[in-house]
Amino acid sequence: MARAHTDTIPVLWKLEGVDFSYKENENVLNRLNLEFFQGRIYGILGPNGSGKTTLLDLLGGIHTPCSGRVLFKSRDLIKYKRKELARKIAVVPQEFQMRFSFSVLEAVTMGLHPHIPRFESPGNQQIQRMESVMQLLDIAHLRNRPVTMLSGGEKQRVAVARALVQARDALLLDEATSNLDVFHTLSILNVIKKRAEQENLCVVAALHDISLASSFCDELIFLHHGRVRAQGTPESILDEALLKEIYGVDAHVRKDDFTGGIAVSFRIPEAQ
Amino acid sequence: MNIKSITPAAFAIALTVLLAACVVISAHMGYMRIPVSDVLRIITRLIMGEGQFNGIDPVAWAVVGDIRLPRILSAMFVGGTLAVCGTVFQAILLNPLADPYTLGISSGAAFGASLVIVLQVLGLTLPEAFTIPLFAFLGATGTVFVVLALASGGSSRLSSTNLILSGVIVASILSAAIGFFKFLADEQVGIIIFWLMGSFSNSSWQSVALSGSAAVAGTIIALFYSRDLNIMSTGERTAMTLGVNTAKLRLVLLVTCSLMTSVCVAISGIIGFVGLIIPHMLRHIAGPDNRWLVIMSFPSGGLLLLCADTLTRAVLPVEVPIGVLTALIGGPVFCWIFRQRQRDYGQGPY
Repeated sequence: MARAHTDTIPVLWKLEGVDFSYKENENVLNRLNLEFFQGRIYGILGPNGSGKTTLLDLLGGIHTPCSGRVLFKSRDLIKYKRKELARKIAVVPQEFQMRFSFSVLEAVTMGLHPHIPRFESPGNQQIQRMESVMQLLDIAHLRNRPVTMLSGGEKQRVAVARALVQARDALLLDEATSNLDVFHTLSILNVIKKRAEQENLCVVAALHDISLASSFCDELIFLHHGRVRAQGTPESILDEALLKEIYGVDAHVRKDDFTGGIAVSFRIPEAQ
Repeated sequence: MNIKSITPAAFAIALTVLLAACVVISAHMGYMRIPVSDVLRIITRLIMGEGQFNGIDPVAWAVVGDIRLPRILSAMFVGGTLAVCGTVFQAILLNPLADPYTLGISSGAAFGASLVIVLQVLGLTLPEAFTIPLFAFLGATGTVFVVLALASGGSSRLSSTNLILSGVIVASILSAAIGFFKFLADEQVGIIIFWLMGSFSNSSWQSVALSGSAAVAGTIIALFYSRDLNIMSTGERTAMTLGVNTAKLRLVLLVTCSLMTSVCVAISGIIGFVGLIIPHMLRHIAGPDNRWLVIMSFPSGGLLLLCADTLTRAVLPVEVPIGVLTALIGGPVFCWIFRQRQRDYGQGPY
């Protein structure tokens, strides 16, 4: 059913037979064929070492496939210049890093780096865009604070603000909320979801929390040993057998009336 | 202490004016005191390209025009260059402890210079004034390329950890070789030691031209990439996704700054702490934006080294090697800044 309306929505990324390995003969990703559509939110799930971050790196152009190709807007990703790509795709890393004590405003402005020619300053429109994003993430009052003195939640909101200012087509979230508490996780994901709707962004998020992913994402992609094991809407693919196979745990999957999403609970299988 | 209320531009202009004033005052000071008005007249005539005239004592003209000004300007350009390079190295290696010598440049230069000195001691005749700076330069640049090759390990990526580690490895091998040269030089080891501690006493207009062109070229290139340097502080991966070609940026700036530093080392020997302390001091005062840091580094470094050189030339009873002096002044000041930083920003890296 999810596929029914995709004929009219443009494809953003198209992976064709993508292999990737860091060392020879040890493929991290195998024969991936995937499509990501504009304006949709995808969750990449799978155990540690299943290739989630590597897949994001391929989508972001940090790595190039060993064989096969990644098309972005019908053009091979390796043909894009770094700056050109940065105008379209932004990444929120797991941990916000800043080596020197730039202010929150300066850090958010860095998201405009690929959009502003050398030696020029942001224009009025761009400043307005930054202001609205900072309001949205509730960091406008911190603008002059050095980022090195922020709490973990505040830092991550700055990273998201930077990415929202930067991205025109797509956002890649590399376990962007793994280190945050429930409140910060939900509020950040909410902002991203709203913004993605408004600006028709495609969001690809590597996540660990399956319940969270099922309420946040339109579609889930399960990776296992570098291959796509299952793909589709959360309701259509989440079941006990899949989770048992991928994670090796006993799982209980049920509809959750409180959140309106799907709740999953686990336990280690008892020894036989 | 934070001069956020003063605009960076005003601060940079103030620094430059102060530097110009120090050039004049320094030319006035020395064994023979020359009135400031005469110094100003000599400088104007030099800038206008006019020769001597009757109103000025020919001895004063010779002292200022041929001896003091070349030394003063060399010290200024070398100081400025080292400070700019320090700023760039710290930004690009993401390491506040980096300085222009991090990649083993000083050891390479010292190796080249002491090799020549030892050859001379062992009886080889070489035209001295020419070969020590030349070999120092060759040693420094050679070392940088070895370090870069070692750090890249065949791939195009240059991680900062690999670069720093390669620098340490190569420098320690070269240090052992220098130790051996000192041993060979036997009683004449003093020449090597004196060279290693740096000096501007042999400066000529030729050194001014060399250090000046290195300073100008390097500063312009650093300024060109200064916004990318800001982006680098988000870490390598994020910088890439923000549109910075990190591998290319590292290579271009490391090679540029290494060549600039090599020129400085060839002219003045090894002068530490200027490249380490100036970026820290400026970041403390004016914030971390590299666009301003690069601009401010030049006059600040020039000022520091000029004052230090004037101190050893005209104030102290005996000429102390400049490298010793910068370390003696710079070390304690660095400790103070370090403590201030910890108080203001906690223990973390900044």
